[in-house]
Amino acid sequence: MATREAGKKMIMLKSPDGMEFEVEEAVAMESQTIRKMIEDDCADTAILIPNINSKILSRVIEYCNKHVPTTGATGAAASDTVAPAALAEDLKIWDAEFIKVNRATRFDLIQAASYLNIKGLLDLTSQTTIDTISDNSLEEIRSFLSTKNDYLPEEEQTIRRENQWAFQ
Amino acid sequence: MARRGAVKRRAWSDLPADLLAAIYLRCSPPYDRARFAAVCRSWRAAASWQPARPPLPLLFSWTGDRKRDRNIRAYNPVDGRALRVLLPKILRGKKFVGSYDGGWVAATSRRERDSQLLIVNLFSMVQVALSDNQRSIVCACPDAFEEPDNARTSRAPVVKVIFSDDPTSSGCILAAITKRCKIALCRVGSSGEATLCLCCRLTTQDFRRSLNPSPENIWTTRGCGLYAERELVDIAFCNGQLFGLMVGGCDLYKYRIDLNEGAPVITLVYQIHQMPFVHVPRWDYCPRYIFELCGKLAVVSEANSALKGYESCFFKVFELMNEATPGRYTWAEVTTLGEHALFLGPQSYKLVHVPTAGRHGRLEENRIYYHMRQQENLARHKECLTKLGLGSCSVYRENRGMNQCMETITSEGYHFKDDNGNGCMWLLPSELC
Repeated sequence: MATREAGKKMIMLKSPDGMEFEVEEAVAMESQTIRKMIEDDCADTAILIPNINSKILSRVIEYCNKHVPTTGATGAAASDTVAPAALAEDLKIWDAEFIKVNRATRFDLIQAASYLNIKGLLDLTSQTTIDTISDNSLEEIRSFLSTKNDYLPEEEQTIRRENQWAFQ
Repeated sequence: MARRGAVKRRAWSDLPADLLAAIYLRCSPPYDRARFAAVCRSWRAAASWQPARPPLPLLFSWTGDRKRDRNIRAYNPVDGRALRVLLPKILRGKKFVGSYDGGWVAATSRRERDSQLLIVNLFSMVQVALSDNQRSIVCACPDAFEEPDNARTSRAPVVKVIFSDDPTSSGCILAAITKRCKIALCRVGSSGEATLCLCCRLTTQDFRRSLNPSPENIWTTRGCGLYAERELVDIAFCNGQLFGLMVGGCDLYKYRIDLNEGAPVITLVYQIHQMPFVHVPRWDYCPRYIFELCGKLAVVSEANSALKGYESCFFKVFELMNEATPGRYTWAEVTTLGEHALFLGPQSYKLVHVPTAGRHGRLEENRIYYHMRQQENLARHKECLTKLGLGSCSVYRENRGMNQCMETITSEGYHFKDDNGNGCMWLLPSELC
């Protein structure tokens, strides 16, 4: 099934909650993890994507659909094509809208991007996390990321004192 | 194993280490990395596994006004962001006269009559305890022509201070250009380690009580009464020797520093008259800065012109060859800084390794970044200058390539209007963690 013929080859992706998504091979191969499976001939009928529910998987496919290079219908040329400046600008605006999701979804998206190894999506989700880190106070970051502060009060005081510039 | 959106509580602290590392590596400015590591223990652990990145200089600016300097800014040329800096009370309204790597600054009060030297680390808020003798430079020149009436009139206000070493090390020697004596030297550490105290909430009075004065360390001064030696515009340590550049750039002095019972003694070794001057039509041109470039003394010549309506400049760098044999020295032009960038300013210089392979945003290798005081109103030059958001301080960045046809090494200028006591200085922060 993993031959590289011209034309649009379709791949079936299955989420653990039983939903099936039919996508073009080129779109699926935006994910390095899936690309590896296809190239190693491990993708006979359908690929089961563990850990990623149908809601998140559909968002990931939406992202890959948008980002698959228009010229490279076959997987081979997928990641090397450089989009013109206008297209890149358009993608940037689209990305900004795409990532306007609640924190639970974003948490799932970043994990999915990491598991499926989609560089663009990992960049986008990481950058949003970094923006949260740089624009908010430490308390806000922790509440936003639902992480518990597991430092002792003295430890926290030392960290804040030694890096006081970073927390202004 | 299905993760169901609303059911399972998401714990960002439980993210796999490789994913945390991927996020951390995308944090480029040091303050974002410091904040990342402060979130929780697992995030700190993920951060600690990554190699530390060498810090890059920040442009630290102040107004000289006690109230407005409570919160000042440090501009990061890499991403154009400005950090808010809460200055400790003892530094507000002060004039900054020097800096050392790791966040150390030297400051004095703006009133010359009672100027006192302070050395504080702006990151750790640690102050180096100085005795009364170390805090103020009093003229003790052996060749001084007239005897001063009293200690107050013989005070030498500091213009610039340089550090031979980290101020917490016992071997650190401070060298200063002053308005009275040409040059002054002092050891920082007493007999052993320098005494440090934390100055988050302390006032100057608290300090006087908390430190152990080490009266044996006083400033050695030189220059009063020596009419053959002219005033200095810049000083630099190079290979353990001290060099001084004369105002106007016509002469370079080399001094030897010896320790006599712990106190530095300064002797003139030789004087170089042949300086690298280049004639550039319609530009004022003279050697302006000296610094250590890979073990050699280098001089930066500044070409200056007011053609644009404000003072614009470009630089040429020369290194001193055959420095050890005074009769045979030559100057060779440095045409590239390689993977380094030079940050220039009247109070301090930094030569920093910035290989292009690393991500440094707007910073580029083989460039000179400088700041300059201007007499003109800079807001009128919108086509050449972009204003930076630095709170109360007005600093403008000059657009790229203004004087490119003439310079060997591309430079980028940060300009500010000379107002009451304001200024800028490059500061190399400590590695935040």
